[in-house]
Amino acid sequence: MRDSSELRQYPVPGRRAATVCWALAVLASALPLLAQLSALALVAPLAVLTLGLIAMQMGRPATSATSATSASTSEPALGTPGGTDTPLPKLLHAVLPEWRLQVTTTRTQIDEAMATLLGSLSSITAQFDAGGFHMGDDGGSSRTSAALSQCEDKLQPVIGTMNHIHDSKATMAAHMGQLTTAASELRTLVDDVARIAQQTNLLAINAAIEAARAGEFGRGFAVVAAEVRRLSQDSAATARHITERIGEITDIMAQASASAVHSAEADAQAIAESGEMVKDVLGMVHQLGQDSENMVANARVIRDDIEHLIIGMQFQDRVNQVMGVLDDDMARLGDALKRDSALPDAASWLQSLRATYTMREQRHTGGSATPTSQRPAAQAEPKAVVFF
Amino acid sequence: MAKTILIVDDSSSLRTLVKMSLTRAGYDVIEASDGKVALDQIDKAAKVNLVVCDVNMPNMDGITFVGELKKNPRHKFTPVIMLTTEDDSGRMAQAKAAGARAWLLKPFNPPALLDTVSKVITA
Repeated sequence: MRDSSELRQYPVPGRRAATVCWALAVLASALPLLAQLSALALVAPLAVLTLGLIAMQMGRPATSATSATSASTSEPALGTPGGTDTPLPKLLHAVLPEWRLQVTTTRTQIDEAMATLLGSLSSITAQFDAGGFHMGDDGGSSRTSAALSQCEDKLQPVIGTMNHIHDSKATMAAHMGQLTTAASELRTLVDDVARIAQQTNLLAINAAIEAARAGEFGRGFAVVAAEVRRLSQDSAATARHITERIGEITDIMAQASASAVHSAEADAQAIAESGEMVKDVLGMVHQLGQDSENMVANARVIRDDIEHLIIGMQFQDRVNQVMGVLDDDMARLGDALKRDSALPDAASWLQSLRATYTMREQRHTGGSATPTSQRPAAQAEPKAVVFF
Repeated sequence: MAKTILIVDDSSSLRTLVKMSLTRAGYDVIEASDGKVALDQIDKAAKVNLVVCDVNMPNMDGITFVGELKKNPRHKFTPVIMLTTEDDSGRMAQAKAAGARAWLLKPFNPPALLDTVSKVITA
């Protein structure tokens, strides 16, 4: 710490005004940089402290330019009506390490937090990549599509098989109908046989009458006539029997045919319903496939958004650089105050500060004393990569 | 066998980001937080095919690191890409004179980084 008498010699009014100007100039230079960072509310306390400091200096009776020029140079140290005897160099000497500590701590905390965040985000993108959602990787999508396509291929023939079964049953029902028709034709033939038997019976009766008339000579013929009559009666009985059996068979076949027709109708309905179900399932499979495609597309969008987010987070590195320059400048100011109790010249200080700027935004904001319209118009965007 | 890249940057978040881009492309990665640590790391490593290095770092800056690296016959031909927020032509000239092969500006796109890496990395 400096001797208090030493300090008292320094802040004469003229110098006090210069001090204020110097502080304002440095602040003006730093403000744009501070504005860059203020979004993060990192150095707002610094700005407030600096402004408070300036206000404190400005509030003193002899700090105006007029009093600075008119007042005696032999005026003693900064006696302040604000209740503090601390001159600016002493205050800066005390406060600068604190500011630097705060800035450094904040930079470290932000960097660590960003590293953790980036680690998490990169882990998420890695999981997306493992799931086949990386741009240009069709693996996941094509695997799902292939599985769904296989489902469709396996379900599609089921409808064909059911239709084939239905067609077979319809053919069988048609054959049953043909058999019924054939049985009806047989009944007609049997009727013919019955009629022939009846005529034969009449002929046998007539033959028996004629044999009786012939007397003794017709006795043998009478025997033949009786046999013929018996055969015709047997034929008529057989025809009746066949007619009965055909009737029974026709009834059975009619029932079977009706049953087959009914079954075919029921089958047709069942097959139609099954077909609809299979079509519904295929529709759902198709929808599932589309949903899957959409999901893959959406996942890729999310993954790419995260990647862009990660890239965008590099702003923190630039902010860190700007804060680093501020930190270094505060250290430089601290060293200067240690070497010399007098505050350095503002113009040369600013020149030195600006010489450390290495980024476009620093040069732009740092040179804010020059109006935008007067800056060189053609400050080309620097190349993203330069090979040596 | 995967090629090894040394990342030198005082920002751990930037190292994480660069590492993410490079490991996804199949490279092995080792890290260092400044030039001094990097010189130590590269001596311990079996083989480093490329260095991606920041410029403005505490203890030893990137350009000084490249100069020191090139003094070692073992690493004389190890290519170095400067990855930095700085766009000052004077600093670029210093890096070139020190032996760097490329100057890549932050913020960078991972494809641009990978493209630059593939152009200068040694077998």
